[in-house]
Amino acid sequence: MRVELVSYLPSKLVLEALRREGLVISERELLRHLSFTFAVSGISRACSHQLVRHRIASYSQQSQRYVRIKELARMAVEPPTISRRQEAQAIFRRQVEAAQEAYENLISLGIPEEDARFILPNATPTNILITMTGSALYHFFGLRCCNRAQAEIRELADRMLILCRRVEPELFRRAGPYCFQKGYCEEGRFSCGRMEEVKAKYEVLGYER
Amino acid sequence: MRLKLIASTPGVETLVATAILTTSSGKTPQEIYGELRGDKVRVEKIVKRIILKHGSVLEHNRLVFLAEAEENEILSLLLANRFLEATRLGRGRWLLSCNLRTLLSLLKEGEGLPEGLREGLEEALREVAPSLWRRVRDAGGAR
Repeated sequence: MRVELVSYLPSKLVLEALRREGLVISERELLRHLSFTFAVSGISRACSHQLVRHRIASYSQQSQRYVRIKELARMAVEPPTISRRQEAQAIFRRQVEAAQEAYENLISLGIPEEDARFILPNATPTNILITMTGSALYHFFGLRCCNRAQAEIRELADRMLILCRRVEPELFRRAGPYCFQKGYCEEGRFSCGRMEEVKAKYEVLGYER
Repeated sequence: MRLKLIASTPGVETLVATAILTTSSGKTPQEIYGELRGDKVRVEKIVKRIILKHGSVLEHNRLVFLAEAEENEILSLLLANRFLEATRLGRGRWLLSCNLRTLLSLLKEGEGLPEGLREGLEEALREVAPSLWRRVRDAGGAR
């Protein structure tokens, strides 16, 4: 996975303009007017499916209708729970190789990419450009930095948070999983039970030298 | 209503072009953005190709305005487009923001929008996305 913050609207541009007019705005309101654009590559389609459930955001994703998938077996995203176990990894890789072969065979029969892709697995890699406002990012981090989130999207959320903290350290100081933002866990019986450890992580994530 | 653009995402048209190519090429958005940054001619060529009704590629940006307006004018705007953000800053002063897709959609609305809004939006479009502004103007959507 590669994640880069390619562009954003810096808070100081807005704050300086308001200051010149003798106006002020709360941090919470300001976040609604700032946006951050991330270039993300090499995540799985499983991850992008979860991502686009965050609807207060904008996405431009690589099309499987117009872009032919190459080297699926080499590029497929493998979850760590599978990589850690040799037996599981063998099953996973066999299946991905079979999917690649079926996809290529369908293409060679003249089936268009938009239909041949029906055989592709959730592990297929994708590229996507994501834009969210500061307030949408707070909600995204609240849910996806949580230990209950799936590992890949949690890694993506952590990386995005680090990038936000680099450019807007004060605005994103309180961003992180909801237990960090609110001081309590909302997961009920599904709680990881490690709130203090999680809070300690997000106090420093992205601020380390 | 008086509208003044006070801030915007840098490189708006480069982001539009990056979004277009991200959907249709095998390259990563990082590679595409790296190649397009600083290549105004190529960016303009790509932006000219865009089909305006396919608007999602216009969303990777933010334009922030300072507005002087009556409450009912802001209400009519919020009812006209649910993607517009508004914050009251004081008596008759507002912070408004949206992306290019929302801006173009408001320009298309035409009738019934608060007086002065169109001028402010067109000026902002011309400033942050001149190629797109020319296309809109040529299509009769801007003056």
